[in-house]
Amino acid sequence: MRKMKWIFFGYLALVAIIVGGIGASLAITPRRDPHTLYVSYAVNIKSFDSAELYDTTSSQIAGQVFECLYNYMPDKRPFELFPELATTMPTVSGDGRILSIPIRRGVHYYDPEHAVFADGMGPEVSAADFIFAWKRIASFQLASPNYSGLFQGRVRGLDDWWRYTRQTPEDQIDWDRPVAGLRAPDKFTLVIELDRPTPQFVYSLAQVSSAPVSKAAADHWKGKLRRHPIGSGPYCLAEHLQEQRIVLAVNPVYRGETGSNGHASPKRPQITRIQMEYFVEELPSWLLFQQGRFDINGIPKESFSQAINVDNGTLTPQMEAAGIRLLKTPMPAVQYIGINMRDPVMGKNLPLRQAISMAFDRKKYVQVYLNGRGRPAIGPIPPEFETFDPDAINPNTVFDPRAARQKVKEAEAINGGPIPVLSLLLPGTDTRYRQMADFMVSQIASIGLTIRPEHRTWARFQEMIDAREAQMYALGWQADYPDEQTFLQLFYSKNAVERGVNATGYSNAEFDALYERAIQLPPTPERKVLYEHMESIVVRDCPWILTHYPTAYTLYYEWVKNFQINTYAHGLRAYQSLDESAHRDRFKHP
Amino acid sequence: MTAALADHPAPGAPISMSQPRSPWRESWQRLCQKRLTRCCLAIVGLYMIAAGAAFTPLMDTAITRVAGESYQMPSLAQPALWLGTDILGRSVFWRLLYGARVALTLAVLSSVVSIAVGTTLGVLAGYVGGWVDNVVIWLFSTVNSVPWILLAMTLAYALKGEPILGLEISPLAVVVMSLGLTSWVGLCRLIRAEVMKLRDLEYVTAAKACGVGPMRILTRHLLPNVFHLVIITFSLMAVDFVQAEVALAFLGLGISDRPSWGRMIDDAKSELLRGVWWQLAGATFAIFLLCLALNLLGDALRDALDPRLRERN
Amino acid sequence: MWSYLVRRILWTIPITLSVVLFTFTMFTLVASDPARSYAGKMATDADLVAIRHRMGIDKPVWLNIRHARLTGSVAAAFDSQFFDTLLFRFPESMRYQESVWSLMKSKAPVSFSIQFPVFVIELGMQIIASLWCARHRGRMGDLAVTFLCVLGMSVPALSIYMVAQWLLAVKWQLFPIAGWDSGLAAVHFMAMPILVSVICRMGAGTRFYRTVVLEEMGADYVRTAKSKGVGTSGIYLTHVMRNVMIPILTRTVTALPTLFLGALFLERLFQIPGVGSLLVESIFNNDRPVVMVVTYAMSVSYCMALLLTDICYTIADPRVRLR
Repeated sequence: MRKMKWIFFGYLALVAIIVGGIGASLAITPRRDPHTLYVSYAVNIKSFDSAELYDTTSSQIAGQVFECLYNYMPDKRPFELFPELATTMPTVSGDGRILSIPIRRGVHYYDPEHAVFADGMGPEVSAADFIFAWKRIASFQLASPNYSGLFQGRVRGLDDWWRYTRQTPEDQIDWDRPVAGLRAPDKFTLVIELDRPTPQFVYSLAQVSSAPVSKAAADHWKGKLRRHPIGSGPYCLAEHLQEQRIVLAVNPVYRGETGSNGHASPKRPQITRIQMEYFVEELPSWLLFQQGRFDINGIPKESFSQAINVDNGTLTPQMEAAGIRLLKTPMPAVQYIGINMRDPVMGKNLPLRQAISMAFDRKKYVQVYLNGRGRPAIGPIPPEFETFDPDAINPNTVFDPRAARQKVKEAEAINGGPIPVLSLLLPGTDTRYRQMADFMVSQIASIGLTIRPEHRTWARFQEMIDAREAQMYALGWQADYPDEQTFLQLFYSKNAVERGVNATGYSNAEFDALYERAIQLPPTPERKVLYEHMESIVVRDCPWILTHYPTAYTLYYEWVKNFQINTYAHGLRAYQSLDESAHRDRFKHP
Repeated sequence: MTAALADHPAPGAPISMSQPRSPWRESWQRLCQKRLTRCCLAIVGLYMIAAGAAFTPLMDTAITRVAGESYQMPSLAQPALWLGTDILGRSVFWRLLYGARVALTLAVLSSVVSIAVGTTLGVLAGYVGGWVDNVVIWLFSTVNSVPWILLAMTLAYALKGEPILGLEISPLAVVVMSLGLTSWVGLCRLIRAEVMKLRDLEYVTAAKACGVGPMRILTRHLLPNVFHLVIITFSLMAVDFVQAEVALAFLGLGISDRPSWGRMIDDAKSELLRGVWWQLAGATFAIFLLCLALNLLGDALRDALDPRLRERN
Repeated sequence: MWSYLVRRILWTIPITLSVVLFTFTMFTLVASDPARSYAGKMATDADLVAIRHRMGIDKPVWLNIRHARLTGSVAAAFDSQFFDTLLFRFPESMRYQESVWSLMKSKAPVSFSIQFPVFVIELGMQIIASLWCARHRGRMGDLAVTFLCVLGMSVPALSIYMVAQWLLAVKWQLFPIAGWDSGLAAVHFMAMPILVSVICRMGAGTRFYRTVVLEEMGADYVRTAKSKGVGTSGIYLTHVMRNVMIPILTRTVTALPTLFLGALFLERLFQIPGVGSLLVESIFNNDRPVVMVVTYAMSVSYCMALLLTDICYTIADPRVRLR
């Protein structure tokens, strides 16, 4: 009896401690540091190793830590490169195959943990570091997902290096073994020899994954380099808890001031700390943004009308009054429904493809599903590109159910009977894809065709696309660099091999001939004409049912100064600053 | 079992001795005695009617037709607007009714799978004993040693969208399989224990002595006597299945090709914030009422069919 | 007793083996290629070959007898993953590129710090509530509590979580909406998840213990104690409690391993970086090593917990002998 009583009271005490402790902690509101930028991110960052970066979020975050030979000027349109770790744009030989790049002196790596370099300051970045970094990307054992995108089939001798690393055990690889196309005549000159002239190659040198890597750091950390990035960019990684938080601190040895014609960044970035919290779901981070816990945020679809006036697309007065500002960024991307051109029903039936395309009400789709955050697509190449003509009219993308029904009749004649049930593959089951499928089904039903949506996981979706098992699939493409070729390559028939980027299997001899000619050319008016011609061929043949060009709506508090979005550039935070006086007024924090 | 029931009639249950009645009928009468239970039966009946109505082609158009503007508030103007509309302006009320069809189909089919597996294994293990018993124990210990939702998730993920032996499995079937194949352990244990008890009773021994074959003993003498367990478990299992569908839908593993309550709740997780409460409220209430009725009915069934069996499992 | 223990420990072997086997089969034969989802949209065959090699999935799936004969080591994907898992030689997660051990080291305490307080509060309150109900059996209070329990069991937990998040954190701003912090600062984010899960779980437990206690109340020894003149609280706290210990123990001890597993939905909705979220992400990304290790650890600890329950029985009830 007495024992039970003690147990009972002990239990009460325990509960009291738990409840009290938690209750007390609620009274403490987390403090805001005046020089820290608070943001959220939604994709887990697996790796900070430049060779392993490939998704947009990783590149954006790691882009604050690394620098490349070239970078994009933040607010210049059309997009323009400036030398970042190089001192000039590359000198190209007469045949366009040899690029020679002088490298900036006096740029040092920074090791925030002082583990590899005793006082944190590492050696100067040299030409050899680029060669080492690229050999890493091209080594079989490292399995970098960037090898094919950056170098495969482009740099002389690098594919041999890949084969060599495949045959050699990891610990016996001779990193000094020369690669014919990558040479360093002196410590600060890099010479790259390409297999054939590739004007687009210089864009690869502005991608974060091409950043230089210090061999000392790679040897020290080995596989753990992905947790301990050592770069020369404006920030360094201070803390990283997977799926929880990333903290970037300012790099104390950052040199500031970029190229002679580049946009000058301050010697010491004004935002000294960037704290990023991981939130998969949009809503919590949106709510925290409204409470002033985050400085920059997107707008969840469901809360759109709360933030934006639907009729004119400006901020609502409440948002305005809270000191929130809106930035609309047209993305260099296009969303579409791809069609498997090898499919017996769809592939040979142009009127059928046209009918589906004409029955799709793009305006309504953009309005209802995207809250107007986008514009109806008229061609595979989005605005922001030179070849884009806003006044062009693509008859296939004009909403016209009557013409579509006419086309269905033609299609039935070609098919020799009624069109069977068509299938549409979607890369997910969440609300967004379900609603998209619902819309598509109802649109197509209006012209007397039936579509069956099939939802798959992203991985399975990709496998089915690879194996060309899908009849139609919903997908998008974002430009990797500001050159129309990034879109046109998706229709080149030699890219239609298994797992090639041409997932529709589209093949057109005229297009191929033009493509082969155009990719050899530097940006000239002649090339622009070729590009336009190619686009018109694709528009005519309709291997994609174009939906829209997305526009990103980003909200930020007015105390974030010089906030901008440039999907190609890296290291943009160094240009931004926080106006603390504005912030203090609003939240009255200590 | 008849003997057991006659010995311990439920309090206040007058059993008329004037004419012999089947034990099932007796149990049914006992079940219908309480007003609460009658209410529950009526509620379940209503859901069944709703589900039945949802099988008509009329409903297929009702759930896709645009009934009003996007996110229209509930109003009493017309049935389609009783619970407002969703993002596409489709009637939430009709979709909710359609959800009853999905939920009940799912619950019944999953229970059938689960009961088939559980009963077969339980009877086999209890009657044959020996190594068969050991294998069954091993099987259910294995299934039990991993949290149920984890198994169901793994199965649902693995089966989803994968043709198996060249057969496409419909999303509903995937959910049915993953729920049914992971939830038979409780029933299997109950039946195994019960059969073990029964097989040594005199009437079974007598049947054996008369030369009745094992199959006949199983089907004629043992199965009918454990069947009440199946019925009780059925009503309680249905509750779990309806709730599990919500869980799977939340994880994106639910039924993707038609409206279901789980899907509505999953959609509502972001809608709630902009003040759209009707999808969540509707689906939650539908689930709540059905589960409440089934829970109470389960208890009543237990009392009516087997007063000794107080706990679940 | 010792032979019993040894037998029980041996019995765990086939169980855990089959759990690992099941997970492996599911993820190898049916689910999609992890290298493909890792490689991204631009990947070519060259990339995939290399990635598969690094992930160790370029080997034959089941047995690699030729290789074993040549080198004396098993090299098939199954053999190596299977044995690595069994021997707790933690493989590297494909998604996180970190050893599963270090992942668990950072995630398990997070789950535990939510689940343990929930467990303690819930267990005590359930027992107190059930004793109270049993004491007032049949009266309004008892009926009300029982009805509330059934009510709580019938509402989907997810709806409760969502409404609570909306009402308590968004509307009234009593709690942080979601999130987590490392170290002691995490306490700040624990309040709402704990509160909400206690509410959700009260129903089932209370009802269960109430039935158990009521069953004991009808026993002869209670009548004897009453006739001896033992007070009501005395009967409840000493006599009945001792006897309902066994069902309580079974329920609680088998719940112990799940304390480290966390709650899948709770963690996902409130953005808590615990084992639950890890597991969901790993299943969706076909991160075989993580799922295998977690299920394996779960089944081992479940078997151990059962064993522990048996041992506890002998302590709670001296009549029980393990043979």
